[in-house]
Amino acid sequence: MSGYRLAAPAGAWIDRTRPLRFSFNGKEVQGFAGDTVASALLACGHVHVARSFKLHRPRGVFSCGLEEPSALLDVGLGGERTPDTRATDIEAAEGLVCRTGNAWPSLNFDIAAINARFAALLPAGFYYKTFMWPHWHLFEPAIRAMAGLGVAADAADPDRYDEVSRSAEVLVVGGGAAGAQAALAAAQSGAQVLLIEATPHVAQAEALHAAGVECHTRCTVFGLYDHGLAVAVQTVGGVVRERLWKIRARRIVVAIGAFERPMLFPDNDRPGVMLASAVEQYAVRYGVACGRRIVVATACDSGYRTARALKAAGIEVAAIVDARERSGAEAPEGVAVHRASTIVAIAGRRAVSGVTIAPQTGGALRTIEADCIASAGGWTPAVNLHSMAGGKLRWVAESSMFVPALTLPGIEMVGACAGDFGAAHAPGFVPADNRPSSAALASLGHKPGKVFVDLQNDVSASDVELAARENYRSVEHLKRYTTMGMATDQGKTSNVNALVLMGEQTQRTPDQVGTTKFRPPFKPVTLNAIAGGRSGERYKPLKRMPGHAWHEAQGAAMEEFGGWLRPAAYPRAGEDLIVAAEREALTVRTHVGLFEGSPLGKIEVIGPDAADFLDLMYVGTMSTLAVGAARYGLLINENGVIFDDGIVSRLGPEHFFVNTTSGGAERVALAFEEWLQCEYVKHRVLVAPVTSVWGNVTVSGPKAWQLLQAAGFDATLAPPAMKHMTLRETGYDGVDLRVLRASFGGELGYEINLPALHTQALLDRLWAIGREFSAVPYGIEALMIMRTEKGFLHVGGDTDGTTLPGDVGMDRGIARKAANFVGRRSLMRPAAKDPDRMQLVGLLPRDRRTKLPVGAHVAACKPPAPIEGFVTSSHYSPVLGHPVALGMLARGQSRIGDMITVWHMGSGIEAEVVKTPFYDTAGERVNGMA
Amino acid sequence: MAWPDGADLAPLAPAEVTGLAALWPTPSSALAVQVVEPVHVLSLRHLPAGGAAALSAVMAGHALSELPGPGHCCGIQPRLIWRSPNEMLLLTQDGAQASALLAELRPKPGALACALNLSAGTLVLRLQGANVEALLSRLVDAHALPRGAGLASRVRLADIAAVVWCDAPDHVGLLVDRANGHYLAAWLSYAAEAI
Repeated sequence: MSGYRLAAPAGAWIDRTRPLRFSFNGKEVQGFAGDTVASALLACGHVHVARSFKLHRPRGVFSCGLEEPSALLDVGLGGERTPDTRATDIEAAEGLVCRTGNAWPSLNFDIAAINARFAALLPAGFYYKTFMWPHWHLFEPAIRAMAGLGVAADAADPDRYDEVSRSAEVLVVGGGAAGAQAALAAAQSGAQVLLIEATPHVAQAEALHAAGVECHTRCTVFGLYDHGLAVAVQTVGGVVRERLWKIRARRIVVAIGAFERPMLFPDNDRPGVMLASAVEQYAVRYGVACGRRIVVATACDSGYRTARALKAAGIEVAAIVDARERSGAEAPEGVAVHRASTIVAIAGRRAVSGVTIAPQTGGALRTIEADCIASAGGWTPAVNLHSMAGGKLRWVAESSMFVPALTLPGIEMVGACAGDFGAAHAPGFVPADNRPSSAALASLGHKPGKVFVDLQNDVSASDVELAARENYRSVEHLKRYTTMGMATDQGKTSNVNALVLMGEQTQRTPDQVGTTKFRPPFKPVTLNAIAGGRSGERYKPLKRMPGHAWHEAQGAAMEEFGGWLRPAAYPRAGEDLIVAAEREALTVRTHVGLFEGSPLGKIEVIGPDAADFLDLMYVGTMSTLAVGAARYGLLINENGVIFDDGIVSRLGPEHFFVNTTSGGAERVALAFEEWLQCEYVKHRVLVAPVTSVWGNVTVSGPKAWQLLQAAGFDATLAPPAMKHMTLRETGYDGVDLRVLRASFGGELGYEINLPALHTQALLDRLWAIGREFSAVPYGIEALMIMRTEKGFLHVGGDTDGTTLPGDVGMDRGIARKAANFVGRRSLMRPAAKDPDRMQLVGLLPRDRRTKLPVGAHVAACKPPAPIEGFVTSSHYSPVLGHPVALGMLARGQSRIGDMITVWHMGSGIEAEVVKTPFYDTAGERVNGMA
Repeated sequence: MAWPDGADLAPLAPAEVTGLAALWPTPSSALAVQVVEPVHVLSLRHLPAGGAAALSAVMAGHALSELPGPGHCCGIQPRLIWRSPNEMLLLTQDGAQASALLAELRPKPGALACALNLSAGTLVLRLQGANVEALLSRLVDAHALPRGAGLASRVRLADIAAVVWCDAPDHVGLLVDRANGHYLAAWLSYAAEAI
């Protein structure tokens, strides 16, 4: 094949006044504005542009659209590189850099092309059968290294991406003749119409504009979802590289046309073999002749139309080879038609140089000189979007195609994608199987070449036959066993041929074989287009505490904890996080520390039935709390599994202030609402999440009250006057406070809740006064050290999706609790009372030096072995001078004093099972008794 | 207030998270994003049986007889926004009015309605200009956006919860959790650059 540029006026989509240059495998290629990379390559005579996936056979441009299976290139450089992209779907641009992705060291000399010589060893599913001796893993690295079709970007993408949500009364997908007609009709009836077209051109553009239809080109709808949601990706250029559209429409009209089905004949993957419609489109749209002498191989009337169009464009058509005996279409004058004939061989190793044809009944061979074969094996309506939306398909035997079976609510298929090609373009009778007959192949006199069904994955007809012989009859098995229909083209040109072959092998019709499920995306979409702007600080919502600036000023190392940016620790010069945290924890034990607990979940529960409701939600009883008192509570779900904990304080007879974990605020509020709305509907309760409304400054340590006293806090907050686990509503410098005496580290602690915007000022003030008391700011890591020293439960750290209250020693009051509560019944199940359940215990390394790794398993012997437990929290305790850990251990509470082995990276660490707490066993420090 | 060491300490004044002001989109004639401050944001809640009537009675006492229905907002100073079947938001820059309502609707035994002060945890923005719709279409599902004056809705805006109300197609209000301020500013600026 030696393509060339046709003279004007051929090439309606290109602008010959705007030439451009780009590079392909380091060579300059010339084109015009409006060209695709493929059309420019063809016009410059590039026949061989890629290598196939498995066998690395030479491949050329096969189609003219997004269905392209062969001409896959890496486009762009560095972070802008998009691998494995269809040359037919990328517009040529000045300076563009394209490379063949699947060839090394070069396209013409590709080492892996040796695979083709060993094709017999590489049939479908070869990795299940071959390369097994001496061991698969010996070969696996090399095979995996060879897999893949391109080279991914090697840097962060510098381009920006956009995402837009739109609504429309009518969305028309596809701007061809049928789509434009549908859009005009809808607009003329007064509807607001949005038309999306994948190519740069829309039919009847002026009329559409006049009718007020909003058109977006270079935009492909790649998914249809529930409730009229269509998602499209648009190539934009300029500031924005790609835009993702999320369009909600009351009515969607799909007019995305059909894909041509190729003919199956030996070596039908040779560069120069192309879809007939593509050859026609290159001539008409881009003014490109794909060859100097073209043979049309057809089993469909549209092949004749292609021949006529090529003739009209001045391209020589050597012959029409029609697999059928009769045709409803007329051949162009002067073109020989070989009826009931088929191609049985192709001349040329890297490009077509001629074809050998034979009658389907066998007989004399005929050779035709040609450099391009236009293959027209029928049509496959693009039912992908219809199927994605839940639509069913039916098989039309006459034209051998699947078409939409039923109309979906709100979605209408029109034109070729509905199987309606119109009288002028009717495909006529199309045989399902368009392969050469065995008689025709026999007349060749030697073994014919491979007949490829799926060009992208090197799946041949013999692979489909092999799958059938090995009983992979289901279409889903066929797909997974052969890889047919996978990868970037998703079988757009191969699926129907494969189904037909499988049907013939298993005595079924194509509709009995069925199709695989069509799933989004309809065409490959870059991950960045989907991600949109979600990177860096926009990656996901990350809340900032009201005292954020204060922490930064103190040199905090900020990390994410439960959706909030929080100080992990405040490292000083020469300290790492661990050393800093240990210093902070020790200072809090000996002096006083400041901690911002603003992210702590806060929910107001108000109403006449608030107390009863909280009894239903918590394992413990909250209705007996006196006003001003607070109590620790455990929340479990219907299965009895712990999902959050926190402190509940009573502000009034019908008013509670509920604290949750920092990461659990939203899920607890949701759970409360769900139970109120679905189950406890007669309870008169209001639930109001107020986490961000209240800042929280926690002052902890033996000198906590001294610091607050020095800062002028009311004397009624002094430890003797205010008991542990009580709450006072008070004022301070004109600001309303809710001060809770509670402790997460076992020291005397005050949680000062105040309107969030005053948090920073209070931190500033306490910090200024705190110098006198050697106060330190402390972060989450220090808090965790102190929690572990005290053996306090960390929900989500010490618990998982199986942990019940009894597993962590919190089931003592359950039997006495009169009220029902969520999850109670689950705690009565035998499994919940199994004595072999894992239980939370303390662990101390025997040598008192080795820190037990979190997650390390407890086992009697070196794993793999039955696991008896695992480490859940572990720290070096600065106040005790040795490591401490918590862990879940089977029958843990009955094994206190036992020695166990904790395994980590193949090594065992001896540890002792102990009771908690490790520190301050009498629990006196919460009252300031240091 | 006297301090033990006589130190000159800053008053316990409210302070916004530093640096936020610089993160909003650069103002232009087509788009201006402005933080409304100070503003009092009250959550007016009521229980199903009789609560709505109780709340209406209190509101009427404050010359607020017009209450918004589902999906609507009404008034300007104060502005009332329907948020859910048992909640309305009241936005006002009149501190006395807010204090009076909070005092009258303080949670107390037997009350069927109450008011909670959300001001400290809430960020209120005003978006104005011809590009407001283009901006919001990059952050919110198009179906969820209120498109007429007097309409309001709860939306998912760049993965965070927000309340949006519309005064005019080019004049929209936005209410979000204050802790999400930086995240929101980053998105608004990013989206504004794409317009």
